[in-house]
Amino acid sequence: MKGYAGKYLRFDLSKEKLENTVFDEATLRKYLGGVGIGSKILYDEIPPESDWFSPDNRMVIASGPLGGTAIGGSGTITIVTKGALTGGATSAQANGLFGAYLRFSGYDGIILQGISPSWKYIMIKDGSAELMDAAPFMNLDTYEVTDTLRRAHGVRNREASILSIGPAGENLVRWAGVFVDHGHSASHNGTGAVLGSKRVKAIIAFRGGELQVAHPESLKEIAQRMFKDAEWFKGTIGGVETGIKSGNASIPIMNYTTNIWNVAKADLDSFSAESIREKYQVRRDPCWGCRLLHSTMMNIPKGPFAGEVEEPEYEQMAAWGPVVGNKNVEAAMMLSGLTDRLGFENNEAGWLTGWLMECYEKGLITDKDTDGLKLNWGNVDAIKKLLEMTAHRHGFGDLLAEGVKLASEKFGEPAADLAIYTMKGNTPRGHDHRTRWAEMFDTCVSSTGTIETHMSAMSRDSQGPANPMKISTEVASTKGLMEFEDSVGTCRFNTRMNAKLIAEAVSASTGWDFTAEEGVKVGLRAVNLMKSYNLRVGIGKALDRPSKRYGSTPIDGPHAGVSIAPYWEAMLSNYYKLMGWDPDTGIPTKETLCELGLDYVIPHLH
Amino acid sequence: MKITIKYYGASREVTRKNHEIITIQTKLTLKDIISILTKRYGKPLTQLMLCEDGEPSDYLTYFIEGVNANSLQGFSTELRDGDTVVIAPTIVGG
Repeated sequence: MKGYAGKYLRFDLSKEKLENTVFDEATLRKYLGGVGIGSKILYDEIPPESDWFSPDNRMVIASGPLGGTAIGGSGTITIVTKGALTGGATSAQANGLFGAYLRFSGYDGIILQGISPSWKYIMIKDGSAELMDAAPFMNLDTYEVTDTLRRAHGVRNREASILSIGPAGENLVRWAGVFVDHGHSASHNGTGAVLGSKRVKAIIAFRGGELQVAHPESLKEIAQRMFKDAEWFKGTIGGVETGIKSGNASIPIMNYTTNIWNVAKADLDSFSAESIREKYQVRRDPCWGCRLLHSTMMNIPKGPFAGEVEEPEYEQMAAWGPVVGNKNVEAAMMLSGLTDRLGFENNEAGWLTGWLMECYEKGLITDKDTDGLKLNWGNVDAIKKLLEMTAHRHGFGDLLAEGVKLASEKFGEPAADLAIYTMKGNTPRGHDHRTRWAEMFDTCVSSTGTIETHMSAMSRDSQGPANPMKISTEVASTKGLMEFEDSVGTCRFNTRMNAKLIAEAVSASTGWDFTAEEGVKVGLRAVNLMKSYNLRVGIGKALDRPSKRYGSTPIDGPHAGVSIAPYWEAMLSNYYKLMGWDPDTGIPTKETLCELGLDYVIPHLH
Repeated sequence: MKITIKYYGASREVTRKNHEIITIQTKLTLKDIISILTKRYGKPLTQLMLCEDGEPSDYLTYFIEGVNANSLQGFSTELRDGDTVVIAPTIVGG
């Protein structure tokens, strides 16, 4: 069949047994790949009662029908698993080359199950795969293991792509992520902890082989149209500077204690994209087929923060800048690199550190708790030590390895009241969502504990802070679009959630007459399967809300005194109803499940 | 003075143009240019570009000669002859 490599690689790590899983054409058209297929495997194969570290948990690493094609950024993978932070559904994406190389090697995805008796890495080459001894590569960070594996296999240039975990994943830090090559991460909800629990340190995929698509010329033409619609994009790295200067108060500052960043102009200017690129950018390291100015390597040539780092994204700069009260751009870049190297999810790292610093300032956490670390705002040396201690679960770091929610609950009130997290157990993305109600609402109602739809798909006045019912309505009406995009193996910065163009590309790749409506339905299937799975796990309406601080009211700035809290219940009921779920409980109705062809789920929920 | 306007995403759909060149006689700011465009394209572009109070919305990001206008003087940035203004959807996430 055109547009697909034709099989998924399934490894039962406990038995060291490898087999191919082949999905028929009807199943592929219904679920595509990525989070579409991933959510089906999550629902069908992982018993709700099993723990995230159980051999029964699966990790699905999947590309999709556009992976490795002419579409820009089509090396993207989606990881679906039962996450270590929420114990529920997870969907996370990493760009780079891995998804493309996986497909060239003959696999649309990988399904890992069981637990290996000893640490392994997986080599995928020339249409086959094997388990290799990972002992020589243990305790290496994600950059080091990538470089060491490349040397061990004589990899030149871009001949192979490597997916790995760092020390955080090895030590089952609940907010560890999975990393691809240098600095691309699919890390929400403890993906790295799950891979660590399976004792898989890395996967190397070689480039060889070819992929057959139905209409290659047509696909190239669509890729060019997509590029013309995205060519203005120049990365997200300057978002802190432009966000602060725009005055819209969406940049998160010092753990949500203020919406006004007291920063000198020269310091703020140093966070601009132009300044960072001019001073530090040394070479481009693009993802598969991508022509956008993004994903470059940067080098801080001298000083205390000297070293090479993959281009940080906005959220990394926000976490290691304003969230922790640091105004030194080189320090923020160094900490971004360190987070990637140790193998952490960046947002959780920032919220955890910001929370600790606020508690330390208020005397709620002291030197006795922190093993002597002085966690004053902006103390970069202390942050560095904190991250290293946490990655290895040393001392105070052992508690922090549990993540913001569990760590703060162990401290109890009043410290716990200051922590930013979703009640499901993971942390939001890197904005002050108290001024972006659509994103806060979506983060809290999503099954993954991070955004499930995208504000840029909504109308201008449905982002907040105002119009609560319109926000609730548009979060529901745009649902499914992101999951469709995350099912095809491409990068959002390139495809820009243009469902019509993505559907055209799927048609060109597969030869189907695939429509945007069909694509959004694939997305809605994934949303409903993840929701249904979570309900079976016990993650229901009570957890569709923010923590006390996350849902708090800004005390200064343009939206001081404006709170989403009074509207939350009404927004929830409206959202559930529009999603075709019971307005009181959020359980998908029989009609909704039938409409999506998910009849088999009905007996589990009704 | 000639200013090139490039449209991406929703602004392209509303104007049905990839780009256009507008000619102006006096020095104008970005806000003035937005005003010219909203008058030219009417309600659909106005709804996209302006808030209900008539101020420019955060929904779009403006790049002048490749630099985000927020890094310059925002909507007060004066345009120079030959400048290119890119009108793109605001990036979220990342």
